[in-house]
Amino acid sequence: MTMKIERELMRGAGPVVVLKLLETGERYGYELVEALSKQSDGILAMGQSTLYPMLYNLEAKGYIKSEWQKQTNGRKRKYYTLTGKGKGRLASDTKQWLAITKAMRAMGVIGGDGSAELGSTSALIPGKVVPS
Amino acid sequence: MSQTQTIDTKTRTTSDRDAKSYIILSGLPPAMVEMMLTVVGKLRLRNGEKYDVACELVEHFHDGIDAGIAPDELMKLFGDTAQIATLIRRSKKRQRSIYWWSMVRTLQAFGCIILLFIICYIGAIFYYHSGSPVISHDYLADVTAKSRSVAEADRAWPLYREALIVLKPAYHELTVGNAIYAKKPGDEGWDETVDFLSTHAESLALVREGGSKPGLGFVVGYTTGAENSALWSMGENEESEPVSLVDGSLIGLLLPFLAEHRTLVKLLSCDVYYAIEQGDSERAAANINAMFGLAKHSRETPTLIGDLVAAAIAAVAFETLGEALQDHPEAFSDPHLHTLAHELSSLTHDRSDNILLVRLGCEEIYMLDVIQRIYTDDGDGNGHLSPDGFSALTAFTDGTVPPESPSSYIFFPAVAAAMADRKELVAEYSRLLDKMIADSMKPLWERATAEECVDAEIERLASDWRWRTKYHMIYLLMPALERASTKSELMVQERDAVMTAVTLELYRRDHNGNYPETLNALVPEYLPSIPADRFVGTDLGYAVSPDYQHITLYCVGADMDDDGGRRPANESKNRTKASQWERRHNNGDDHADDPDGDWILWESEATDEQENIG
Repeated sequence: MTMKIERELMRGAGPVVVLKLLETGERYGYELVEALSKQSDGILAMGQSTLYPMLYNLEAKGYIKSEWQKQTNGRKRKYYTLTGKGKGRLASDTKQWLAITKAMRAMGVIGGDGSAELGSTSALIPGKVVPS
Repeated sequence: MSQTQTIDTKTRTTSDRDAKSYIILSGLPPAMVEMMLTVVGKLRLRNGEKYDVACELVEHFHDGIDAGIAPDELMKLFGDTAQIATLIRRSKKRQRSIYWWSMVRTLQAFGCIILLFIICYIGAIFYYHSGSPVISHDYLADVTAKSRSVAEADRAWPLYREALIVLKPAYHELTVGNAIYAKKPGDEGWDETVDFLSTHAESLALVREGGSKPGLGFVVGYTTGAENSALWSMGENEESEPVSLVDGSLIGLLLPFLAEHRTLVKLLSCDVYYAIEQGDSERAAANINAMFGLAKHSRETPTLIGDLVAAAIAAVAFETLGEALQDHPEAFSDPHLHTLAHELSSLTHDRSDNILLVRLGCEEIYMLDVIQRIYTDDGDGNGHLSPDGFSALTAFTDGTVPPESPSSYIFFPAVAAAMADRKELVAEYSRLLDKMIADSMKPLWERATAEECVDAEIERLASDWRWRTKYHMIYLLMPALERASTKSELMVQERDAVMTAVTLELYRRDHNGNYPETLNALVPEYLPSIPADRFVGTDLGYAVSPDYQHITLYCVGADMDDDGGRRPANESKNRTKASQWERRHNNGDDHADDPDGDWILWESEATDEQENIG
């Protein structure tokens, strides 16, 4: 079942996911859109209206930097790269997400295999899970 | 990525048209192009930023199409154009540098200040162009109150006028150049003077009678008055009418009687000698008393110039009496001398009618009258400079009335705001004048130093353009009163000398023709106390010859050094440079250039030589 993550939850998860994708090397916008969709099985897919403003914000904060590169076909693409500051932020966010996950598991919100205890979701998670 | 080449879009010159052109020429489907144009159109970013976004979106859609996504699906994923434009605008603006934001905030602050200034200035234009001067106090009534209160029978002016109507047409018989001089026997022109005095004896008797009246009764105004038309023709009136700061202000007052008084006192001085020649000591003494009367009458209208004229008239009286005593010591009888000594003493007895006191405070009502004519009145003693008042002030400064123009209308508030408001102006003027008056009431030896006096303070204050602008009226209209403030003391010194000379003559008559060894011998029978040397505060200088036949009364003079009654070299008259008192300086290095010698106030013999003085 493909789900869409509520905007408030995505606002917290989106930047760390983008930083994680850039950890392995530079990527351009559409490449990030595709990777998010494929690697998260569509759960963390985000539209352009979310991705590009997020990239600009991360760049404004100095976590990533961008560079236009001309392609052999004559077109150009803007590539984003993780900065040193961005690596630090990614490490910090990763720790926090692990802590949250651990806490969620301890609370029984998610099971040992990561699956959700759907019966109690609405009582514990502010955002709601919407079937795709 | 080895197939790519880095390009720098930041240095590229772009425009809004470039961003749109880039989208239009992107080769993407028209609906997609239209959607991107809508987004870019709503971005409200700088051209370079819009171009950057446009490039990235175009490449995004190309990548999507290349990946096999249908254009409709891509557009659906793109989302709401208004929302994405808003989000992109916010995030792109966050990318701007701190320098850019600093500049923006600075410009915004500057703009706010400019806006605030403009709002305030518009308010100032309304404020300073509102209101108009209110003539709330009739200062002319104050000035003329004393003259108007003199009973008809007590008025000297009708008698002076009657005499002048006869005397003035004959002045040419005595005039040297344009002036009439006091003369005494032996002077060139004395015979013509005697002819004049004898011919006009009746008119001079009228002047003496006028001099004995309690008041002058000349009510001043802006014309010389119809009742005086026989004395002053209309032509003279028009010529003598001064330019006033504003119509009807006290500055425009006419005081034509002062010039007449100055001439009459010279005629009376001549008549003293003529009376002595004729052996008429009664008339000689009456002439002296009439001179004092003229001095007193000159002060009836409270003006600084009137007080200075009164002092000048008194000086002529002192000089005349002193020289008469010197040349003809027996001319006056004992009762006459007693009366004259009493008259001289009484000149300063009444503080409210001290005819030797130059009242600096007279100036205040003239300033207040000007102020009420050029400042508005809020009913609480405050107000601002009015446009008409500013024009009048400018006309007074430049001699021409500035033309009205839109620029003067707009800039007037700036000028008015830079100048003191009514309360501030009055307070500062009063402060300076009060300080000046307080100093002028002290004897010369207690006066402030040159660095501490008010003139020096004004000079210091005026060196600051802010003070000079704020209190421009004080700078412009406050007269230099330094000389006037010392005049009283110099007059008192001369009066004291001639009064002492009168009593010394009485002493001499009572002591077999011998003068006393010291002035202490006069106290208390002839004088209540020994007058002071006004320059240093010691007893009046007195030098007597070994045979007690010749004496000199003196003041230490400008060099502040008692030279035993020795006149400075190359100076022969009583009023010499030695009489020119100057303020001390803080550094004490004061008198190096002053004449070495004393100010000789009176001598028992008419000689410039002092060899007989012990």
